[in-house]
Amino acid sequence: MHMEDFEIIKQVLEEDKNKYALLIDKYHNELFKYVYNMTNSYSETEDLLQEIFFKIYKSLKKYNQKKASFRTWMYRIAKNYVLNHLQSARVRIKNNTYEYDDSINKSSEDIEEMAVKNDQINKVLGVMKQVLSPKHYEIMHLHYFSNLTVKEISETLMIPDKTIYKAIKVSVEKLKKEVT
Amino acid sequence: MEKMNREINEQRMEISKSKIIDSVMERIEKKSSFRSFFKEFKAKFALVFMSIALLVVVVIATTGNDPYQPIALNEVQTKKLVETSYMSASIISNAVVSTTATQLAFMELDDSVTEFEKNIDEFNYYFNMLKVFIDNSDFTENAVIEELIDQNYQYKINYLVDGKEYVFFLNFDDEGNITGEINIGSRKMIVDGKFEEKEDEFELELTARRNNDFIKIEYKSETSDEIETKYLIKQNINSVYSEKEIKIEFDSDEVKVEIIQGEDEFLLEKYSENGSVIYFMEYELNELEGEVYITESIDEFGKTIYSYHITEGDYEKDIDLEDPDDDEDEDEEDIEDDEEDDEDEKIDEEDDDLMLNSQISTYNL
Repeated sequence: MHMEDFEIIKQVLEEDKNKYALLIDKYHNELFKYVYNMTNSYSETEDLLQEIFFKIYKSLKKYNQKKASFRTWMYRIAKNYVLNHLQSARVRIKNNTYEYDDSINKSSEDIEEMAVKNDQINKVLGVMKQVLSPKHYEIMHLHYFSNLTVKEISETLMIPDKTIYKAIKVSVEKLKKEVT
Repeated sequence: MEKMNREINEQRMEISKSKIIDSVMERIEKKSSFRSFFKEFKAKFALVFMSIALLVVVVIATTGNDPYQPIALNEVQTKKLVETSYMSASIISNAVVSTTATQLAFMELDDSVTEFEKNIDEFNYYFNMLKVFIDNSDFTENAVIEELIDQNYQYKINYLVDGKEYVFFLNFDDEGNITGEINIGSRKMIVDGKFEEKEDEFELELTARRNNDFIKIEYKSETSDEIETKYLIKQNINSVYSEKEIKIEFDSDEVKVEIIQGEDEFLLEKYSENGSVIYFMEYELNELEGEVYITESIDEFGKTIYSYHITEGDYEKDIDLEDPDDDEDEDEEDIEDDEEDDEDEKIDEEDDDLMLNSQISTYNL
């Protein structure tokens, strides 16, 4: 898997930049889910992903497979970009508005369930921002909203996995106190 | 811990995928065509550029002006130079004396001695050095840079930390190589290092040397809006080599410092309670976890006393220690004598041992 990515990157850099579409195709959905979990907006997720994938392309020369897998390196860029974006006041206001999607085609029970879940996620996000230090916030948002394992979060953030485990433990306790 | 996933419309996601692939590939295409345009005219540009460069050289040579122009230090370079030079000079000039072998042997026999106490000397030096960061006082803002003319060094950077003056003389060339010296009172350290700047990356390496001791600090930043500053420290003090990673995390209202050495970790933060400042530390030493509350007070002789309340495993302990910096003048004289006479060094170490054993009270939980 890892070698495959590296082979594609090599080809993109050396001969065929169109091969980059293969990497977007491969990682689009998991990054889409990660970003959408944070933004709760399809159009915003789309805009952010366009920028993220273009930024990844521009930085491709700097990627070092000895230091991290392409996936965790890509998450590092995505995480920085999304968090910087979310920090702006403009976005915070925008986040509070809901966007139309085809949930109208679902049953009323589904919609209710979705709304409750969305509310819970928004609440947790708000509390996380309030009570956690920036580093713990970064760890927790990767832990909750991406499919990365602790080891992968450790590689993404370049922090020892022991520290990640400890941070998750401490943060969950803090969040439980606030949310319950 | 359960993952939090919002419900996603798969169809919408797939549509987005095609849109993103198209738009990103289009931008890549544009970027490449812009590049190839310049590639095509590269030879012409190169010729024009070379002609202009030649013209400039001729003008400078014929007007007889001194072509030497000192390279200016920018804000980030100065800030990081001040921070790394302070850290290296502070550690090396205090020449961290780890707990002696004899002392350790006694401690190993005593079940009530915590892992933290076995490492307290070294921790204390780092705590003193890093306190200025934890206290969130940006001492780098007060640094004064002076450009020197016709002297051995191009620049002189002065800054004050805890009332002590650090004077850093340095030269650096257009390749980022640094040479210089740091003076704290009568103590002098020789310094060399290198800067590297690429787009949004900044790297600095600085090595300070004093007698047989050296300390090398590596700093690397990948983003301009960093909230965490990370330093890798390689040191050889009193013939003991060690490597540490120091992370300083800045938030709007708090600063956290993490020291990692192999499997051992210290996480230090500061907060206020009832008007007094408390430093709280979590640590893991030799696979033992513990917590320490450190409070600072001044005794009747005006000396700063640090009180440590340690909780480690089944033990809770209170220890009071003097701030080693309070004996600065005496230490300075001692250090000068030490360089001439090794015997004095042994006596000083014994004195340090006595200080550690002051006011210890122990009880089992």
